[in-house]
Amino acid sequence: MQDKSEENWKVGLQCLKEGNLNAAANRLYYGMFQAVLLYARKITGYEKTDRTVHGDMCDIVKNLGTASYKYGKVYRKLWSLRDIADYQDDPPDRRGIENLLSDCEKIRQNYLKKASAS
Amino acid sequence: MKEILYKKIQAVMNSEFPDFPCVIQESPEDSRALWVQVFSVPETEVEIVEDFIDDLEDRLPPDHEVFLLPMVKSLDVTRQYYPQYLSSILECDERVIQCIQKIIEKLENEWKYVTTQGPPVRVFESVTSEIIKNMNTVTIQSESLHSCEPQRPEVPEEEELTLAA
Repeated sequence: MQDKSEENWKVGLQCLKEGNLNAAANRLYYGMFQAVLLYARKITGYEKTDRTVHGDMCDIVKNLGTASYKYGKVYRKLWSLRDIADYQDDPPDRRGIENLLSDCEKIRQNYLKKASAS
Repeated sequence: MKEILYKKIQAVMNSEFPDFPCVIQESPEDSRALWVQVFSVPETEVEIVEDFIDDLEDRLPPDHEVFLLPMVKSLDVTRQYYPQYLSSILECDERVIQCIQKIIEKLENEWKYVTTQGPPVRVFESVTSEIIKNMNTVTIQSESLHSCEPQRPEVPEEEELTLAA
């Protein structure tokens, strides 16, 4: 799962660079999501794969750590841009993605680190 | 229960941003995620609306475990992808702009005419009739025209008086 997170994040950045905003939002979100999922499976024994999995990962980010409130919002914003990319007519906003990059990478690195420390 | 929550969120959004159409919809991937779609938002206000939706989630009753996903569509995005959600006020603004453009065009033509052939009063007659013709229900502030008025060419004072008489 760590490899998948790395791959998706890298591909997402490349898509963003090339202006493929739908693919970028989708891949970047999954890069972050998979890092949190890896942590959830390893540390909390999380096993679900149903429709609530995205909300469950958001809950983890929202409730863990001192800056959880801020990062919960960041997670939700990228989730929102990914839903726009996957389901709506308009593309996600480039600036919106770019503004989230740094914090989303922090979330990703943080959960990968926590997962590998176990 | 969900219906009531949707209605509550809708009511809050409508009350806070009455000029921007808002649609609440469940995400197809997660039943706890609600898309809060707001349309026709001027570029300068997109962040304000997004922040409001962020804060709104914190204000929901604790028994509602939902995630509000802000999807704020700027005026340009609304025009291009969701024209059905262009708000009536902005459509009205569009009409005002078109009307002003017509008036300015008319003024420019009339000034040319006045300075060469006719009395200045023609300009005002022309503008007045243009306003009445184009703006049956829209009120326009006279100040908004000032900055757009073409500069009147220099006319010797004596000559102007003669023409006006």
